[in-house]
Amino acid sequence: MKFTIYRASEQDMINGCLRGDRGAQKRLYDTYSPKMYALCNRYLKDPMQAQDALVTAFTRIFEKINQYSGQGSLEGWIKIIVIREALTIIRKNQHFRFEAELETIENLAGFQNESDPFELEYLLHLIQELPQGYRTIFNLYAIEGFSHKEIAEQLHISENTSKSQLSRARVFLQQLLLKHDNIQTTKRNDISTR
Amino acid sequence: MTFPPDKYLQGKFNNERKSPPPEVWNRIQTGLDQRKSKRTWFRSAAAAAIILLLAATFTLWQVNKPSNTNPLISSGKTNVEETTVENSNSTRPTDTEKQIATNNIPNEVNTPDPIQSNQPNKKKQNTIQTDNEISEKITSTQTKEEIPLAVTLSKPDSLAGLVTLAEEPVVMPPQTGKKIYYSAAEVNARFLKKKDTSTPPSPEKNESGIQRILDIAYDLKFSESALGELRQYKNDILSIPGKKSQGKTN
Repeated sequence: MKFTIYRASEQDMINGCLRGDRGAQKRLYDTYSPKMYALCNRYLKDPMQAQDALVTAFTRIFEKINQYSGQGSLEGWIKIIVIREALTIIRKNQHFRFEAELETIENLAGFQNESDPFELEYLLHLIQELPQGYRTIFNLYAIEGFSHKEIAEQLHISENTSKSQLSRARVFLQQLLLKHDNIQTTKRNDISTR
Repeated sequence: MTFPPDKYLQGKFNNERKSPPPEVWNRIQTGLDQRKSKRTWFRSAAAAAIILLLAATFTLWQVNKPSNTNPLISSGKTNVEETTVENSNSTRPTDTEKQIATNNIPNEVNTPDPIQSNQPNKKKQNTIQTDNEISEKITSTQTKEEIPLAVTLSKPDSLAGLVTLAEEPVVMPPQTGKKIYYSAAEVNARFLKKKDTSTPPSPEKNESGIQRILDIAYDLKFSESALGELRQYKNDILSIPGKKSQGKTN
């Protein structure tokens, strides 16, 4: 019953957006924008770029809402558009690099994760510390669930490049995690010696 | 500590939410309004361009439109039209009543016009109307005995008079597949020798030169002209020597 109500309200929103109803557009935006803004923040480290991606993506969503067939979930359709816009901004700003230095990581030492070692904000912080190329492929493969073939098509790279960059991203995250763990251990030892 | 597996990360980030700042919605609204106005402007500009194009096309068509719709070039029509022709010489009404049966004219084709064959009651009046009386006679005779004439424009001299079409154009059969349709006025202007039927020919013109010479000779012989008097005078003069000879003898 809940599902039926949800589908009905979603269909109303879609119909309103098709008519260009600003109220329906606002409802759609309020429903999906928090999730999509978090997604943009995972792909784009700069908050302003994340907002730009969100604005462009929702503008396109309202214009192309007639292309939504209704077979898949609306959220999945919106998510694909937002990811594409984020990738467009990444390509446009030429931040798509695959090299990184572990020493360039900032602000990781001051992060506290005593209650939950894999707290969401902590994990997001770790991922955001990844270089742009690593982060993009890690987001697409490990979190969104795209295959290497799909990633290669989206980013105009080969599948082997996608695979190698993903493995390097994992190693990088592991080193990042160990480094942060060492920092936390030394902090605890210092407190105990006092 | 090892990094968590992908499924764990997917579960964690799937429900991640972060409210965007309120100015994001304002920017979206502004962008939608701008695109809407752009779309409206583009549509109105396109509509105006189409209207201008149509108006220009119509104007050019009106300017270049031919004043006379004939000759029509078309294909698929027969190249023969039945006509009735009468002599236009008003001075010889007996000839007008004798309608020329042009079935004897060579190279004629008596294929009926498909357009007119659909209208059997409609009389084709390709007649020459020199005056009202003759035209009335023509129409009356046509209703009684309709003599078709296939006007072969390759031999326009075979026709004694002008050919006029009342309604239907006379067909010019070209040698190629296309047919050219001419109106009666054009046929007269192009192919037929125009004769001035307004003034009747003088009787002197009808007489041949030999006849005139014979008439003069007759007049001279029977002293019916000035030359006859002169001749008489000459004869009187010539008769004097005979009198002189009589006088001498006397």
